[in-house]
Amino acid sequence: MNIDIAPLLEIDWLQLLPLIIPILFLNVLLIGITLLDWYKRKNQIVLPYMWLLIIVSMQMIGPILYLMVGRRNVRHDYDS
Amino acid sequence: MNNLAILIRVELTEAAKEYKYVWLTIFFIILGLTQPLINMYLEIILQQLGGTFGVMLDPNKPSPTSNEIFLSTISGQFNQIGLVILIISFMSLIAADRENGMQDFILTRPVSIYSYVYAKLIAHWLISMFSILFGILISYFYTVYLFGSFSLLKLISFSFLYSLWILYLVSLVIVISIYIKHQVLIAVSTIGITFVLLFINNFNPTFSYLLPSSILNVAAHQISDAHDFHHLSVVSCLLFTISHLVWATMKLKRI
Repeated sequence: MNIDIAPLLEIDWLQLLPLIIPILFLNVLLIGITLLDWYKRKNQIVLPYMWLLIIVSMQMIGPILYLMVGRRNVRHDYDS
Repeated sequence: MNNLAILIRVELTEAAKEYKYVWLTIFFIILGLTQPLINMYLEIILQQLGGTFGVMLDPNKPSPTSNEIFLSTISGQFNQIGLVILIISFMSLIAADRENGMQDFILTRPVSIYSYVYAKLIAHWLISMFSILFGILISYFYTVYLFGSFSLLKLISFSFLYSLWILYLVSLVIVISIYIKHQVLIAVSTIGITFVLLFINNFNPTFSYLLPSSILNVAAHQISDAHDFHHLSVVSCLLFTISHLVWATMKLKRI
């Protein structure tokens, strides 16, 4: 994993701004909707905190995976 | 026909409760945005993020036209990662009904198998086309804004033909989910079959008009003239869709 943040500081952000803004906005919107739904269903789904990690850490794929798979995997009474 | 309308409405409200309209639309809009933006700003991205000093793009390279960029969005994004996500969202189409007993419940009422299968087909086609059309439109506006215009009529005929390909995909998922019980296996086998279809279509253009995936050639021809195509492809795609539906209803009747 690359954790060297020095190249990030050298980027001319203003030049990249028109590229980044729409994609960033849509991704934030997607993650926001997903987190709202996760908060409502936190006590019902299987492994809620693992799904939180997936939603936050995997860009675009994570929220979609949660909305397709995670929110349907409801915990049963005999599990707990 | 009344049953059909009710079953379609059930599917559509179920999708609304799962926020499917929202996230599928956002997903396709992001896909449609990325390709034209990356093509436009490739030089800046290379300069800023590459970490490769001395690398430059040929300044004399022919600049891509807007319809080429749009077609590369479709073939590079929509037909690859977009297809995978779309099929994964289809995978519970009949399998979930079977698992929670809803299928038996519906088919023991006075509801014909035809209206059950056609409701599935039409509802999921409408949901996916809603999202894909938003993605195509946003991609079109960005391409026009960044690279220059091409006619909106071409886009409309393209999206009509593309929607027939999506219709075929839904019917393929219906047929496969009758034979395979497990949801993940349905998704994997459908993705495998569609990628094989797409690969053969690109690999051998002579007989490919017999394949359902060759309708994409006709669709691409609407936008740029540089593609081999055969008008029979439209007929073969529709024939495949109808035969899948007939197959599925016959099989369901026997069960």
